[in-house]
Amino acid sequence: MIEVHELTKEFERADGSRLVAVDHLSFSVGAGEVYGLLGPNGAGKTTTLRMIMGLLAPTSGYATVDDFRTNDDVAEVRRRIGLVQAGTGMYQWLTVHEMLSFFADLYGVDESVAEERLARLVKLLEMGSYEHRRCSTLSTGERQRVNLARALIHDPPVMLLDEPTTGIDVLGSQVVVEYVRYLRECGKAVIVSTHRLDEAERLCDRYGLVNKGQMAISGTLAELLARTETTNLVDAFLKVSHTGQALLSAGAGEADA
Amino acid sequence: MNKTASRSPDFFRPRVGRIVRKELREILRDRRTILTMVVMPLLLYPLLTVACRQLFFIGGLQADAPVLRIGYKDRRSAQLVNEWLANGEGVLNQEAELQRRQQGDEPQDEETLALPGSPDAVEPRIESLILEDLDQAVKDYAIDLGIRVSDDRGGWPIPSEDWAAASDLIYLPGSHSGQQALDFVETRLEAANRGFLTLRLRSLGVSQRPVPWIAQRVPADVEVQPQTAALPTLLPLVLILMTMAGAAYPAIDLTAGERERGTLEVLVASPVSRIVLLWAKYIAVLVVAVLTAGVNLIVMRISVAISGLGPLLLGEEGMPTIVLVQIVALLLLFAAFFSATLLAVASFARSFREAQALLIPLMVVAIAPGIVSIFPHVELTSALSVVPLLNVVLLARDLFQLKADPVMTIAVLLSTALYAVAALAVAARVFGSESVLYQSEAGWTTWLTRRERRPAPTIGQAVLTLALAFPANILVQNTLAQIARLEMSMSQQLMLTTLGTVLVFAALPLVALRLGSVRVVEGFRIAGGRPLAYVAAVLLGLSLWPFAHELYLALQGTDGLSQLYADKLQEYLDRLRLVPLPLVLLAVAIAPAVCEELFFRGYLLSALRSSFPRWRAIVTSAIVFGVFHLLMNGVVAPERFVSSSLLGLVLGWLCVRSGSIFPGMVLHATHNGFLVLVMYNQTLLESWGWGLSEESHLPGWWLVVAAIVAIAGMVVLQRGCGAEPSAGDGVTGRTGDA
Repeated sequence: MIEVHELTKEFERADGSRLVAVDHLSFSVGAGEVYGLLGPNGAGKTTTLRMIMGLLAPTSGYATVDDFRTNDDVAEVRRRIGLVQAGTGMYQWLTVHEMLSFFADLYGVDESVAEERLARLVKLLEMGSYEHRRCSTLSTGERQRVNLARALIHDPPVMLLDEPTTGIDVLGSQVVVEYVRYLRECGKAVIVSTHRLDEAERLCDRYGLVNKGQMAISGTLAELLARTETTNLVDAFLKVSHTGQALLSAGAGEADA
Repeated sequence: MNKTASRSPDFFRPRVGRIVRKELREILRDRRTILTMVVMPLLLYPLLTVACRQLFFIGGLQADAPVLRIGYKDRRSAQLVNEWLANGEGVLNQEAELQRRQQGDEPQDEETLALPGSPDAVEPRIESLILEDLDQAVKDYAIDLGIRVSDDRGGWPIPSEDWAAASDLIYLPGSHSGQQALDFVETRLEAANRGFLTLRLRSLGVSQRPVPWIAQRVPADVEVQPQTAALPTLLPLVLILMTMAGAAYPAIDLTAGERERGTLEVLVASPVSRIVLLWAKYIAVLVVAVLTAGVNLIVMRISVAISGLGPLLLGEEGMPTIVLVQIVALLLLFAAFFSATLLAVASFARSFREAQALLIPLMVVAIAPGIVSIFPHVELTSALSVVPLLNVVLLARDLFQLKADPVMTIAVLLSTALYAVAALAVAARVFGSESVLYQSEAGWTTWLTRRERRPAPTIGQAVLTLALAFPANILVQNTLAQIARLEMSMSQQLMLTTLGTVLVFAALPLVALRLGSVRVVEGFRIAGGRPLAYVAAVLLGLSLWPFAHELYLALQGTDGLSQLYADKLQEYLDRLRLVPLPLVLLAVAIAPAVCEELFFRGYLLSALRSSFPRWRAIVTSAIVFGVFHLLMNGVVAPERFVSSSLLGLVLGWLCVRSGSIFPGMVLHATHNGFLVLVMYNQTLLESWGWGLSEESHLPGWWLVVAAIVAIAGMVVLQRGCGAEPSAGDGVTGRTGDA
């Protein structure tokens, strides 16, 4: 469903030097699979997702969504993607219903289908009490649910979740966990980008650990732990990343001493 | 295996309407919009009308005579002073009558004397009040002036007796009406004293005039400018400023505001293209601006009607409906221009505050020329007709005063429309672009520079360049027309003309190509071209001018189009004959041929061919070519549009067929050069019996020969040049959405 092939993105710094944000990244995600794109802040996760959506033009390489190349058929690609981001805001003067209907319209969903889908999402995410309230009056948790519903209003086969639990409390995080399970059950190809490795363990089927724009290691949880000889994702990541190695060796040195 | 998109163009069309609806719903529910759109006009115009009334009052333009309230201690004092004032009034009238007789003038009609702003416009009415405490009454504004008679000896002074009555005039310094009452009373008291002195001198047997030295005010013989000259400008200026204010908030909110709230990325991530989103936002901003203008216009009219200022501001007959329609249309165009400008600027900003910081200087810059327009004697000239905002304010003023010049109107409308399109092109480039959306380290200035050079300019770049070239051309033409009046030789003028042509049609597109990261050789279509194309170019160049001449005559015959142009042309040709032929050929044939081909068939046609099919691109470039030839020495000549557009069609076709601008240059230079040679040797030709004056038709056989040569040229071009070259001429440079 999603193919990322040798994707690279370079930015030009103010002084004219080049910053390689994503460096020949490759991976694929199938239908019904949840892929965790993990890494520290600044690893290149969000840049990768933006390139998959066609919001950023790759310096080299390409990504395909449902066999449509993002460079060539950006509209077709976007029609097939639902995007959830931590910092996404609301249209303050619209009601929840109006906002969701607007996005359904934006994605070309028929009015009757949109109404039916909206009712289902309102029920699924328990938004009935504030469906007709203006977005400016919503709490953080309610806004999060509206955003989750917005990403699904056009029933996309691919979902991109970029740091979906940032700024969310435990209850909110649980909603995201349930949401991802629902997406898996619906057979959607899902990429979850997060720096919270503990949380990723609860969500994903396969993982790609990205560091400084490069794929450090990828595979299922069992494969990662076996290859790094660790017991959890955090340790595994620390071990494969330079920082972790330095810390680990320093720790070993101190222990030896 | 990759799929191919089955993109339906109709998929996005209904979206524009729906996105606009959503944007409007959001904007119109916002209290800040309502504040600007409704509350501000409701407050502003009643206040303005109050200010206007005050202005009229100061200027003596009030419809009713002002009432001056004068207070006295007792009824007897009031009677005594009023009679003494009436006495003074009588002396003033006698003196005026005497002055008129001395000057030999007939008594003038009241209305012609009562100039607006003149203190004699309307006589004030006196209201006498009897009050105990005159000082307090003055302080309380109960009266304008208090007159306390301190010594009257029970009656008027008598010429034969040596005593004087005395009185205090109590007034409030700084009070306008107090000053007016003071002037009124003092003038009459002085006049009464003069009259009294005459009688006293006479009673003493002295034959001297009462006042030995008379100084009389003689105003210079100039047209009196009423103090209200600025008002017809003030109203459109206020309307325009309010329209700007109405558009500013939505423009910021729908771009920078949306970005700050974090909704822009999900919007841009939808399958609807950035251009469609921008277009919808533009329409929403425009609608709000127009609604604001509409509300302002309505509230203004109601305020003017209620205040009774209508006849003074708009004349006795009020504003004719046609003027109202014109003003609304002008406001609509202005709103289209300013909304696009605001959207373009606000699209750069990453936050609401940054957008405000960017827009405030723009608003200040925009207001400045508007203020200039209030000054008297600022006329809408061809140079000012291309100055944004100032041109619209001046045109609106002229429309109000029913003296709008059609040529200037067209120049204002065209230039404003062009600026609007250019601003939209910039906005399209910036809105939601990668560098602005994600503020890459290199900064948003990267939108201006493109590392990878493209083979042809984009339509947006071309529109921007046209928007600069059009006013630049008008300015050059206007300057040349001004220079022609100076004592400068025709040779010097021709050299300046050449310089202007090079600057507008060669230097400007060259800079545009460099800034737009377009490869110059391909962008200008600098290529060898097919050899037979040059043959065709010479044949066409030699044979097209008779048809241009006949077309000119035919168009002149239809409704006598611009005699002024014909006269100007004849004058120009006469002066041209005095200049050495090589210089004329350089200025009139070679420089325009080289530079205009670089611009119209090189730069512009390349840009058009990057997006349009062949013939649409050729026709569009030809029309633009025609529009640029509308002006000649500051005179609009519609005849030139038709012939130039037709020549533009041939030149465009030649360029596309040959794949180079050089054959076009040959055709253009031959065409112009041949006309110059014919004109230059007109006397010689006439001596051979070949009349070629501007009024006479060419001999029929000339046209037959020209037609044969032209057809031969076209056949050579069509057959000899094969298919359209593909290199650098196909649909190139199409950019993706991201």
